Amino acid sequence: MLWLYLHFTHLPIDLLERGTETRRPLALHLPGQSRVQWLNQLAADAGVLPGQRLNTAHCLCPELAIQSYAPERSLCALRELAQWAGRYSGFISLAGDNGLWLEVGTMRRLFGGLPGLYDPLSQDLQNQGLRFHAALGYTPLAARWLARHAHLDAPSEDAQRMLTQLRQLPLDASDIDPQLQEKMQRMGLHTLGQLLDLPKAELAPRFGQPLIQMLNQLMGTLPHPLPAYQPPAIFERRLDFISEISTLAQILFALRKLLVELMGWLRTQLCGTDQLQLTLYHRDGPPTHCTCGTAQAEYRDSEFLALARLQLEQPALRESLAERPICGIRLRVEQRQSLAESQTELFRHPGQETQKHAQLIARLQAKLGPQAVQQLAIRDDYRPEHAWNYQAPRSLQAGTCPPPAGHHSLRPLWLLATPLPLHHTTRQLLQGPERLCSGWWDNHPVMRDYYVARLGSQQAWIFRDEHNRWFIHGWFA
Amino acid sequence: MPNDLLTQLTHDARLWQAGQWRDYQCAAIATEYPALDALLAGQGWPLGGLTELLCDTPGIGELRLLMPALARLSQQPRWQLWITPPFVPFAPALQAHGIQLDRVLIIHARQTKAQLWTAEQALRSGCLVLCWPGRLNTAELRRLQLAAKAGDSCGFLFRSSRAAQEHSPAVLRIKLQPHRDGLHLQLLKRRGGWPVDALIPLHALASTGHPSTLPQASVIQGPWPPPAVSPTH
Repeated sequence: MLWLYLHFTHLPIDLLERGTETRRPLALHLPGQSRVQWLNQLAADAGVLPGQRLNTAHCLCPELAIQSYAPERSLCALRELAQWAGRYSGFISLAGDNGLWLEVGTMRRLFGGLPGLYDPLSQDLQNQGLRFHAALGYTPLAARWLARHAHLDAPSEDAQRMLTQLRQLPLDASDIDPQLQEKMQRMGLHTLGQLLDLPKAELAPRFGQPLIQMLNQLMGTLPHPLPAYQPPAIFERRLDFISEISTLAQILFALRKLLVELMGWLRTQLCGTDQLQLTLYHRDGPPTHCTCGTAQAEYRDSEFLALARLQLEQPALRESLAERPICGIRLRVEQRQSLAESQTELFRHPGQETQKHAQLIARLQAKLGPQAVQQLAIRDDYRPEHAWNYQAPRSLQAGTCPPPAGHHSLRPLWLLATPLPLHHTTRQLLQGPERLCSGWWDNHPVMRDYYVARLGSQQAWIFRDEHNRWFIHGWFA
Repeated sequence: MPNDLLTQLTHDARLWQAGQWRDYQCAAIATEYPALDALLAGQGWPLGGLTELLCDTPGIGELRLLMPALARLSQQPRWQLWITPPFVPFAPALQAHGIQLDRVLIIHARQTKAQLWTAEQALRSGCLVLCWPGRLNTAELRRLQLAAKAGDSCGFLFRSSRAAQEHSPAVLRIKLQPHRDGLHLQLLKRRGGWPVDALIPLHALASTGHPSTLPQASVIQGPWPPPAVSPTH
């Protein structure tokens, strides 16, 4: 196993500064404390030091911006980073509040070697405005301690070199208890190499068993289990806008950002989804909800964007947008479906056609509404108006159904939704009567004699009810 | 090369010679009516093109003309979209004609624009389309024709017979008129041939035979007086 450790050196400052363009001295303190905890370079140049009282810092640098910073924000950001890192590694673990372990040994073949994995990763982090140290190690602790000490420009897998670097590490780069470190310093132990050279049997009584265990884990003689980062089961992101927006293009621009994030989230889990919940927040009044459904599980942002565009282009929604501009959008996905079984075929396969057809249904439903796309189904009833109904479309299956149960009587291809009173004077009865008396049990009783008739040039299915009134009920089209 | 172009054009049946038009090969679906197949290039409904069926009144057999072809196509895994039909397609009758109902999609779209959008999307995806649009202009028809060609699919447009006077890019245009013995077809435009008339014996109301030949036994007379079975009423 090869571990890559990412040590975020200035995470709280980077998180606050990455969105702003103008730089000014900044100091952060923990909520409820009045000492500087973190500060940026400009503040350090003005003489502010970590641990200083806020009053002192303010006197040293009058334009200093002071903010309270809860450490949970770092943890939150770290979880987001872990989710992002899912595209580079299959095993991720959080370390404290400023580090991430990535298992990269099994992934390097996918990326064509370590540089292929490391270069885009570090580029991504730089684009996000985060400063970090990275190092490789054959044990988690080795990677972590190396990264805390120095930054790695080009990753190397050379175990011998790694060991040399590890032996040269000063003790304060390690996780060893500071009190023990002080003790070691007094004994003349300054680097990790000096510590490792001492016999373990002598170290244990002096520094305790936990140190021995840590050193064994460092050298890989003891296993070091790490808790794996588990991505959340629900995807939910909200974007708030500084100024209200009312045009479709602006919404789609913001939505695209969310959908790219969603794609990353789905891809790390090899999943797709068939339903997006989109919420548009207005400054006043209840938010607008819309749901985009695809006919089968999908993960690509381009597909989702096309569907969302159709949904948002609906005239009713557009009018409401013009009247009530939105100040935020939220994207939520609750259900995931495994994509494992739907892989691309090398050769043309009937399944591809099915997928194309499923996409068509998704597009139609998004544009026209789910109620507008329906299938016909047969019900077991003698009454023509109850002998069929609409149902939601099912997926297209290859193969054929069993042959239809023989209908012994003639039925017209067109059925009138409501029977039309017949005033035709020239009707020629061609066949009949066929008597239907049914439905006494559900308050829609019918007592009818059906005939096939010719009305002028048309062939119709007409009936006479118990009051001797004539109706047209269908056309033999 | 002009000669190649000529070969190409004749091969596609876009250019035809009066004596030999029947020999040209075009993709088509057999109509299962021999009298009609004989008149159509490729012996069937054209694939990759629009077919216009012009008729004014329902109930003259306009759908039965398509049923054999639709039933055979429903064996294939492709959708058949009925876009805003004027009446309810009666499921038991469709099934009796051999159509697999799980291939049929009914689309309800009130606006012509939405109907045309749906038709275009479906034709491009290779689905079969039956559409009852209102008035269409040439540009809209051309879009549908191009979509059908791109998807190599089959589109049937049911239009009013007033449209017979208008120009249309559809591959096949047929005016349907009722006839005592079936359906009178006026082929206004067809691939590789001049306009021609045809009579399709559609006297069978369904595949079961002529109604007058059907047995009328097992009919129970009601408690109310039976109607006078006379030609005029």
